[in-house]
Amino acid sequence: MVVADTVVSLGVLAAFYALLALGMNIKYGHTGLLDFGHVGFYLIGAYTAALLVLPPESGGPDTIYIFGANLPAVVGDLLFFLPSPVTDLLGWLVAIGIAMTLAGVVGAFVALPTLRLREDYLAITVLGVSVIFQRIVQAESWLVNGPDALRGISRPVGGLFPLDGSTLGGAVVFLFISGAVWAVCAWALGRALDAEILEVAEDGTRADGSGDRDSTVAGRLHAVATLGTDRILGERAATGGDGLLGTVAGLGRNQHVGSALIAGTVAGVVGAALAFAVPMGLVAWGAVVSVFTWVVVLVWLARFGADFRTVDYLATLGIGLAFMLALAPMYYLTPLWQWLPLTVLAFAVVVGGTAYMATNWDRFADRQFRYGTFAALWFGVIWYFPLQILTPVLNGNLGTAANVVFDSTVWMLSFSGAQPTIGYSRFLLFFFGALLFVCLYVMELTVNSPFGRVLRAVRNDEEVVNSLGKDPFMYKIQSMMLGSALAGLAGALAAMYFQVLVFTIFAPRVTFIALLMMFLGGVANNRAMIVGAFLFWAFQTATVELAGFVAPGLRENIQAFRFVVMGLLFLALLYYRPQGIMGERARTEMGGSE
Amino acid sequence: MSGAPLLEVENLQKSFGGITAVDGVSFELESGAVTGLIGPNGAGKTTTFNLLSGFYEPDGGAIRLKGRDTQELMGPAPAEQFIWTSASASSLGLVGMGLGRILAGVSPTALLGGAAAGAVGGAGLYYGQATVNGVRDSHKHSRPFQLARDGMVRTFQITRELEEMTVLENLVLAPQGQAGENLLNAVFRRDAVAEDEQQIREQAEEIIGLLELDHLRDEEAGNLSGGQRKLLELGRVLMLEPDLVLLDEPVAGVNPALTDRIMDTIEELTDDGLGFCIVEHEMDVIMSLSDRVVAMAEGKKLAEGPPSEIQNDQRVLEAYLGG
Repeated sequence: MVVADTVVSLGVLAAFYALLALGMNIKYGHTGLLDFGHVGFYLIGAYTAALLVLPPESGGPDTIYIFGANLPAVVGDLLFFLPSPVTDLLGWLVAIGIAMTLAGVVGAFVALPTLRLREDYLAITVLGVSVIFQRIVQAESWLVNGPDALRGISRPVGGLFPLDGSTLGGAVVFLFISGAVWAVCAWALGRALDAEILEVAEDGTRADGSGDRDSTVAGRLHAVATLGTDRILGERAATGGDGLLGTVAGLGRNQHVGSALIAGTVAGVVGAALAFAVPMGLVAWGAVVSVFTWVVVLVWLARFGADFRTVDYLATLGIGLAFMLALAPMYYLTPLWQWLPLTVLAFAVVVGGTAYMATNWDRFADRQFRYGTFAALWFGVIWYFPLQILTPVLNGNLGTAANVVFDSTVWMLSFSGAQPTIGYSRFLLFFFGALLFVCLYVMELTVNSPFGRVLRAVRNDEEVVNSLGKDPFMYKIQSMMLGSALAGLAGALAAMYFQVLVFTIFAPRVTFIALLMMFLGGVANNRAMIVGAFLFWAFQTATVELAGFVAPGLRENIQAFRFVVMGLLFLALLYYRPQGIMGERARTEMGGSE
Repeated sequence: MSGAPLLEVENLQKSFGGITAVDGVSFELESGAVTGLIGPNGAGKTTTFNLLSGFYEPDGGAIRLKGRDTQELMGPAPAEQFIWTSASASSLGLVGMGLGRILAGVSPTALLGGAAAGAVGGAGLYYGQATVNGVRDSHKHSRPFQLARDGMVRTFQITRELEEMTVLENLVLAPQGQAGENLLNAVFRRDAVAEDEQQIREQAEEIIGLLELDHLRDEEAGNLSGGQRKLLELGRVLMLEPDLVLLDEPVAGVNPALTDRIMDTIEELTDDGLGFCIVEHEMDVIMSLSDRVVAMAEGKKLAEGPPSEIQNDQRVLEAYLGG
């Protein structure tokens, strides 16, 4: 498997698990409701979405379920003038919306009798409720095929993939995907520049968006990437201009949003035209967009490591490399008695050395968080590029090596088949990523508003909230609804991802995985949920990859053993960094105004 | 002293197990006046406070805020009634659907009819029990937030700050009916919320200035000293713009300078027409602040009158000296 494919499938999993963790974070992180039954709402979302998109039961003996609303087909009949991929997707979106709503309503129902209980009793009661949900699904065979799997969940727009841009439909999808990626990147770059300029704004160079900004490479790149619209919109905003451009700029009350939308539209149209009309156009434009994403990531990293000197970059590279090398015995040695002690020894040395540096070397001690982040990134980069070309380079096969580097760089396209395409997992990544982005945005608005303030007050002390004339019960109900609706959304996406649902997917451990992700990222920090979900699945993926190096007989043991390792790491995290990797965000200037 | 009684307490009763904490206490609180509540430890002062503010349910007697029984005020709010009605209606609706399925088979008429009948029955059940409970004397409501909405606010003997929130956040949390406390407004009407928030912040800054907490505005409440917490609690109560404030030991453990500041603030606000009821062990404070004093011992009212009278009351002195 090409390494970019691994990362993409990791991203897809992380995206819907991040939504699950986000729901948990609203309940526990922000409101203090310990919901051990979170998975129950995930289950409701998944099965509701599945039943809504499944066609009516055919009467065959293999799959029995209560009803199939066949929403994609229904929407297709209603909006017959639209092409079927669009109605497919619309049908799914309606199903997702209903699944979310139902999960939210059930969340409120479960909350009604349980919310009056003390925190620990609440946790146990909802855990029981979620197990009841699971047992109902398992036992009632007429409902969703009982203990057997519910199969045949179709994916939206699946027929268009793998997509090579040579058909009209394919070109339109490529328009949306490349346009959206471009717009997000342009917006992110603009934000990065703003944040950077704030630090050097003392001499007033920022006045109208000109000056210092445009003289940096990133600034020029941003001007090019937004086709100059960012500057025009900035000037318009400064002079109070209106008209079409003013309307676009007003879309997000932020010139970066307006310019990113314009540039994204243009980029999407160009990409689609190229892919449709020119042979290799898809590869060319895919490469351009992919490179743009890499550049934006680099700009953000440079900003994040603002006070890093060369020695810091080298030191973090050294740490990342040391961790990678510590795994080498596992890769090169076959007998268990050789690699196991050597790997453990190497890890002990590297971990000990890192811990020693972290406390005794000032540069490291002052920036532990950044050092940790960069070391982890270097580890990932070493795995992503050099490690993948190690064998071809050692064999003197430089052409293959260059090919692998190109394939990994142009992550937007899949090179697994005969010709480069955009595979379905890429589409899922964009689709799930977009939904995650929207949910994260809305949740940030929510927790930063007076509503979120009351939630945190409830978490702190319910009696005080009560004495101030606010009903804690109403807020807790709403928090349960919101959190459960997010779990329902995650469930609906899971149905789309797995295509087959079995009751075992919804075991109580899923709740605890969501909790783990929340604690890992940082309680009461919405953005940290993405970090938590990504790290969790990165660890899972890494252990699967590692298991591939050892003898087949041992693989299962390794996969079982990883839960032990995960438990130990979690323990260490709670002991040494109880606030999670990112911690709770400071909110001294919070409020409805942003 | 001026005006009609803001709060009337009549023959208040409360016991915990075998211990009678409050036994037939009656008094009145008025606006623009400070009433002191004194008594030795265990006299039932804090229990009385908890009863007045709705945190405890009385065993007997009546409390009337601005002429209305607080039990009536503390009934469920419309939003809560809506939730319970719809929950009850939809649960019984589901049961009705199931019954329809069993009795008349699967047909839209049977299912929908059963659901509708169940829903009506469920809603009726909720309103039925609400009506029955409304008529029953022994049924007690306890929703303290309703009393705060009607203008009676309390502080706590052991201060209860929202420790993970800053001083400013503690204050801006308090006002009633903020636009942004509605989830939909918070997401969709951000301009209105921002405007509202701006006003509340200005009000909070004023109170911070009044209490001279300026240097602590962005400090987490958990890091404040005991005296500063007392001030913050007072400030939080004032943000609600109440008519009647119940203060439970507002100067306990507070240094003399801060005590003076708290007393000045209370006097200023009394002049503005607020009513105060204060429980305090610091006799100098209570005697100089209060317009009237109610003395309690062993759950009963011993004496009531102006401070000068109470100071010389033989029964009060005996109670305090353990006579």
